[in-house]
Amino acid sequence: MRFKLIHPLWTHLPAILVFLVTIVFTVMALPLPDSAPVHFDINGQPNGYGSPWISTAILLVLSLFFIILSVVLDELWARQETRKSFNWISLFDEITVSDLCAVQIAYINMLASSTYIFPFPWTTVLPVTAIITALAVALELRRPYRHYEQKLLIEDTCQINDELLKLKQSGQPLVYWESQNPAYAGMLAVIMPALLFIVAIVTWSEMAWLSILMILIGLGLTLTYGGFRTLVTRDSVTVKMGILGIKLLRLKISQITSAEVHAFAPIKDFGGYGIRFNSEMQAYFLNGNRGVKVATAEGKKYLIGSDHPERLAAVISAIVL
Amino acid sequence: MLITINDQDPRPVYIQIAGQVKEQIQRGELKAGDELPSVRELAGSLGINMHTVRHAYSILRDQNLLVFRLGQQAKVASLRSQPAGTKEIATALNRQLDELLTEAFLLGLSADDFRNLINEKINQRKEQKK
Repeated sequence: MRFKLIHPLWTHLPAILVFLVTIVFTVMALPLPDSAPVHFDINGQPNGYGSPWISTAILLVLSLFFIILSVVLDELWARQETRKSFNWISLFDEITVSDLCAVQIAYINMLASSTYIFPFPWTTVLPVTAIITALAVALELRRPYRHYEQKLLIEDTCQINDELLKLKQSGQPLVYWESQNPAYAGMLAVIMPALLFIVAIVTWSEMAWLSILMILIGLGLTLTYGGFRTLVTRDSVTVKMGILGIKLLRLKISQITSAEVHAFAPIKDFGGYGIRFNSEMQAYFLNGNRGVKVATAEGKKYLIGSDHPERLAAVISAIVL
Repeated sequence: MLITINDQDPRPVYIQIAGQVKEQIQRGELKAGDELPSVRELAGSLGINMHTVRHAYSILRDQNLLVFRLGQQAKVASLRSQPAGTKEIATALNRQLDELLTEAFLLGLSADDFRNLINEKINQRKEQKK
């Protein structure tokens, strides 16, 4: 099957436009000085010097990264839409990129003026961000709704139900286990820490505290390797995470009153993936848009993401009832 | 993956575990690339020794049904696309078939009874697959 974007790319045009304008603006200001202030204190007085190319490169690479991230997030949103809704996440790239680019434009202007004082350029940032965001809102409002055909495989649990009934009566120890460990989570736990460690080594001599922070974040990410695991025994339902099997959720079977398959929209309902909350429930998922909603006697609700929600719901229900 | 331990079953626990994993692979409930719980996790939740689980996993690995390396999560291996050759079948099943036949004849089954029993079991599996 050919890959097709559901969320049209033209909704990102304002961000791309301001990005291109900034590149043109920077090119026109060439050559940049070899050495210039690259860091300023709160009053705009320079307190760090270096090549202006470093800050320029950081701003441009970050902008590009935000645009790509926004394309991915918007696509996820569009695929989870059941009717046209205003995708406020689509403004993410416009707001971030116009901020960054306005700062870059003001910075280039400052270099040209050769008075090296740089208070935060509100007078450039605010109007640029306002115009670009307004454009993005207009485009988002005009975005058509496109239906995304989802392959929904509903599992037949007849056989497992028979098996569970027999097991339930036998009183034998039993364990049901499943994992959610999508490829992106594996990459986040391996490639991101590797990148952070490399950057930490490079910046060690200049900013040791930043390196230590990056190493700690990297180590934290490494611990998530292995994704989420759900374990059901006769006594409890447990959700664990990562290498160390950190317990995220543990519900005693006696607490549980019901377990049913629940379909949801990760971005719209919970604003992303991972450990999530909304007004109705607490959720644990890394993948897909279906899971098992578990209700407890105290009136709390939990959503456990699953690649086999029918099976998981059948097992929990069989043990609870 | 659903695993249970039956105290009434005369077979050792590791054979019970390996058998259930095999059945779930055969039924398609566990697919190639699906992860299995770590030895520690499974042993802990069933209240059995880690060596028992490790033994079960290594049997499955020896039969090319599981892939697992040190420090990595065990995963279901991709199933063979070609049926095994006669020589392979002979080494894998001969002893068990012989034992089964001996048991059947000792129980007083005739050759026809035995054949019918096997056919019945195969038909049951086919029904389940539908």
